[in-house]
Parts: sequence; C-alpha cells; structure tokens
Amino acid sequence: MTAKKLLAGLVALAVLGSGCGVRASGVITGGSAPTGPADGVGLYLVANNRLTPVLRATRGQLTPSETLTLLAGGPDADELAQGMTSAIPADIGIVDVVSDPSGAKVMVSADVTTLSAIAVDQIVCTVSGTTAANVRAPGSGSFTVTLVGAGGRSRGPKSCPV
Amino acid sequence: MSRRRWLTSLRARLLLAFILLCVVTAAGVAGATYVRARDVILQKAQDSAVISLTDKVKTLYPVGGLPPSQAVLEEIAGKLSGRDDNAVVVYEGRKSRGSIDLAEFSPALRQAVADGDVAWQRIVRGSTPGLVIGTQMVFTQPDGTPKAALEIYSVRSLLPEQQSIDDLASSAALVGGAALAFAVLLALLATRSVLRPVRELGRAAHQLGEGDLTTRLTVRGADELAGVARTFNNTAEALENQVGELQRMEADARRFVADVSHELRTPLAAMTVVTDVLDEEAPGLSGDVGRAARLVSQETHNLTRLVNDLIEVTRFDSGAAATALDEVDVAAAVNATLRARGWTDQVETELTPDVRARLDPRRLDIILANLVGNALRHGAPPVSVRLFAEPDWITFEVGDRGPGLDPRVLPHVFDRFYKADTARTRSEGSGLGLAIAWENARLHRDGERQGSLVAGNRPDGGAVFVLRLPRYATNAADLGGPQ
Repeated sequence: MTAKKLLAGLVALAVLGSGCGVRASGVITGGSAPTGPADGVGLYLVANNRLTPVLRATRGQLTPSETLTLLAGGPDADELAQGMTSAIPADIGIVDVVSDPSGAKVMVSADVTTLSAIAVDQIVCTVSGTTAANVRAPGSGSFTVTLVGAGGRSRGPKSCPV
Repeated sequence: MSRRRWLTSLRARLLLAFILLCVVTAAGVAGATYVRARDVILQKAQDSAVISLTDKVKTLYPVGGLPPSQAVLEEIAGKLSGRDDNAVVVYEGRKSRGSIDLAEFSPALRQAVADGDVAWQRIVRGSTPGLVIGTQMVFTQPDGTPKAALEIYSVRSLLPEQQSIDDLASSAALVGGAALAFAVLLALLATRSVLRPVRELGRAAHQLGEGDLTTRLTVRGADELAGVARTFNNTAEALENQVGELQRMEADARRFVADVSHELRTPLAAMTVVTDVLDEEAPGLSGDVGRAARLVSQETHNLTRLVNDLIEVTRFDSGAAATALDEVDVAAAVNATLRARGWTDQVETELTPDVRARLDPRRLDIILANLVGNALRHGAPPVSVRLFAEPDWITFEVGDRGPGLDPRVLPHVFDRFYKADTARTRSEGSGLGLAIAWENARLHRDGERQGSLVAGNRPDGGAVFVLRLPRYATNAADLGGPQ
C-alpha cells in the first residue's frame, strides 16, 4: 500500500509540476533576424558631436563623388529634426574620388587644412562605406582615405574611426 | 471496529486496488496526453505567429531612410499590427506609440533580439497569457556588412489557445471520471466473482463443522479457487467415510453389547429361579454352604440388574427409548417413589402441591430413585427432595449434607461405569445408574426445551443434583423424530 501511495504521489506531483494551462516560458530563439536590401546610401552626419551614420533614401546607385556631394549638402529636414548637423562646409567643392583596393583619394576644391577633424572623419567614413563594396577586396586590411585640396595640401591618409 | 473490518475485507481491498490502479493510469495517461497536446498547441501557435511576423517584416524591405522619423515608426508598427497582435517598433531608444511598454519584456529577450536572433517568450499578464516575439530588421550596408535598422516586438494574446487547452483538460477529466466509474463497476463484478466461491467455501466449511458431512461444493472452472473447492470436497468425502466407518464400528460394538445382554437374560432368568430356591433353603444350610448360597443369590441379583441396566443403555444408544407420557401430579409421584422404596422416613420433602405435569412417570421414578438412593448411600442425612414449578419447567433438587462431590469427579459423574471412589465395593451398584438417569432426563422434550440433569455442590456443603424437565413434554415419536 505504501509503494502505491508513493507512486500516486509521484504521478500527482509530475502532473502538478508540469502545470495546467498556459504558463510563462523562457526565451526561445529561432533563426537569425530577417535581412534585406537597403534603398539608399550611408552618410555620416554629426549628432551631439559624434559621428552618426544615417541612411539617406535615394533612387538608384550613386557614384562616390555624387555621394560626397550629397553629404556636403548637409542634413535633410528629417535629419535636422532629429538633431543632426554636418561639419563639412557646403562650399567644399567635390572634384573627384579615385579608388583602389587599398584606399581612395578625394579631391576637393577647398583648402582641406581648414577642415575640422570631425568633418574629415565624416568624409573618410562616408567614402569608406560607399566605396568598399565595389572596390575593396574582402579582408584586405584597413581602407584609408586621403583628402587633397587646394594648393595640393592634403589630409590623411586616414581610416574611418567607427 | 466494524468500519476497520470493512476496510480490511477482501472486497474493500480489491476495490481500492482497482480504483487506485484506474486513478493512477487515468491520471498518467490523461496527464501525459494533456501536457503533450498543450505543448503541441502552443508550439504551433508560436511558430505560426513567428513565421507570420517575419513574413510581414520581409515585405517592408527595402529599408528606407535611417534614422526613421517618428511618423515612419508609427507607419511600420501599423503595418505589422493585426487583429490578434500588436507591434511596437524601436529605433535606438525611440519607439512607436502604443500601449506596450518595453520594460515588460525580459532583459534576456531583449538581449537575444539585440544579438540578431528572432526570439520569443510566453508571458502572463494578470491572468492573460501572451506571446512576445522580437526581431531585428537587418539591412545590408553598401560595403556588404549587415546592420540592424529597427527592433520590432509583437505581442499576441494566447487566450484562444488557453481556451482550447482548458477544453482539453476538462474533457480529460471527464474521460478519467468515466474510466473511474467503469473501474469501480468492473471491480465490483470481479470481487463478486472472486468472493462468491470464497463465501460458498466458508458456508460449506461451516456446515461441515456443524456435522453435515455430506456437504459438497460445486467445482466451477479450473482456477485456484476451484482447486480449493476440489480439495474441500475430497477432504469432506474422506471425513465422511472415516466417520461412517467409526459409526459403523460403534454401532457394531453396541449391537454386540445389546446381543450379549439379551443372550444373558435367558440363563439369568433360570439362575434367578435357582437362587430363589437356594434363598428359601439357605436358612437350613449351615456354615460355608449357606454363605455360598447367599453369595450366589446376591451376585445373581446384581448381575440381573447390570444386564437390565445394560439393555436400558443400549436402548438409549440405539434411539429405541421412547417416553410413555402421562399427566401426573408430580408431588404424588415423588411420594409414591419414596414410599415404594421405604425411604419416606429418611428423606425430607419440600414439594409444591398440586403441580401437574406431562411426563413419563416410570422414567421419573427411575431418576428420583437413583438420585435419592445415591444420596442415602454416599451422602449424609438429612437428604432432601424439593420441587419447584415454573410455567414451562418443573425442577427437582435432590441434596444431602455429606462431604459433597470432589471437583475432579464432577465432570464425570454421569459417565458410564465411572467410580468416584475406586475403593468402593463393587456390589453397591451397576455403575450405570446416573448415566441412565441422565439419559432419562434428556429424553423429556418439548420442542426446543429438553430435560437436563446437573450435578453440583451446595455452597454450604453437600452434593446437590438438579433435575429439570419440561412441564409439558411431547412424545418424540409423535413429532416423527428419531426413534
């Protein structure tokens, strides 16, 4: 009789242990989050004195120089509303961007020595982000960008700090 | 006490075992099925909700401008919310408006989502169960690296699933209850089929113990109980045979005694005639011859009495003894007995007058003569005879003031040829007197009432014999009883 009672108790305990109804569970993880294409170009703006990447919706693919021109145009209305600014003067005058797998050279009409450090970083990071996919070989070390401005004065080469 | 006995009875134990077995089985099966079904229901609901959400997220590609404006967050949240679920979209600390508070989600869930997995968790808010699914919306950057654009959480109620599961539980309980009732019914049937032979066996054993040696059981089937019944029958048969054999032997022995007694009668009659002659001549004989003649005469009388007593006893044994009942005045009958033997002066009587009873006067005379004779011979005076009358009984008490009966002798007083005093001279009686008195008392019957003769000692000394007879005895032969 004692063994039977024990058995019944164990069964009851097992039933109670598994509980009735719907109970809270732990975190269950499935596969990776869905991934899809982005329709736009990545630009680096400044928010609270820090480099902040944004995705600017565009139509079609832009060349690196077109992208830099877009960057020089400053934040749009949405970005302004979110407190974004740009340290790049609007009259910097993008001339050309020449890329190879190890780096890129950005030629501008303004004097690059007068640019603030954060403005240089904005340009370096934006160029790195846009160029890398087309030109850069995967795993080919750090991608550097050199700015060449009026009078042949240059900044860099520099790689994106973020 | 009776409650305890019921609990330990075979029937109760069988019933309990059945019920326990059923409860354990039903609980086990129903419980396991319930848990499994619940898990399947929940898993299907969760999986379909997760797939539905990720499918909806995939329709939002390509990703537009980032960081999104609040309006964009609201728009996406609206697209992801449906009838059953409610979504919230988060971008770096900003979230779409809505009733959902991110603090409700566990840190583990948020961490799993931040790590780039689709993750979900069941939560219970109040008594409402719900499912939280979280995922990132990832886009591919121009340089090919993935980057999280938004975090999306969707909260879905699990009330419909809980309803289904509750239905499952109640139907499981219903089926379990039905199974239990069925088990009880089955147990009752099983115990009856098992216990009936046991009960029959008990009854048969009781009958056998009561002396009905012809008792047999019907052997049904070939199980263990049938084996027991067969053994019982064999035992009863062996017992019947042996007892029959013993009875036959005893009857033979009695018949032999009866035959011998009868055979002795004729020569004894002749001898009595001769001794009568010797008695007449004895006074004329002198010396040893005269003594021898008297001795032969005395012993012949004793032998005649012994043979007569033996014949009387064999009549009792063979059941041939019958009462010749008559309506008598009991006190008068007692006086007649005492007078006939010349004991009137030696015996004190205390007789209720005018007591009439229906009994066998000859047998009453034999009993009383024996009791009073014994009292006079072995006891000390005064010997008393007292008579009491009740509506259904008459009681005689024959007592004396002697030393009384030895307690060791008491149980054997009515045994045949039992001699209390081994040194007593053998000429005093046949040794059958009290046995015959006892049989004579028992011969008086009135339905359930049967006469009895009991020996005992009075507290104030002296032996006392109590004869108790039914007041209106009926003839055994009249009732068709054994002869």
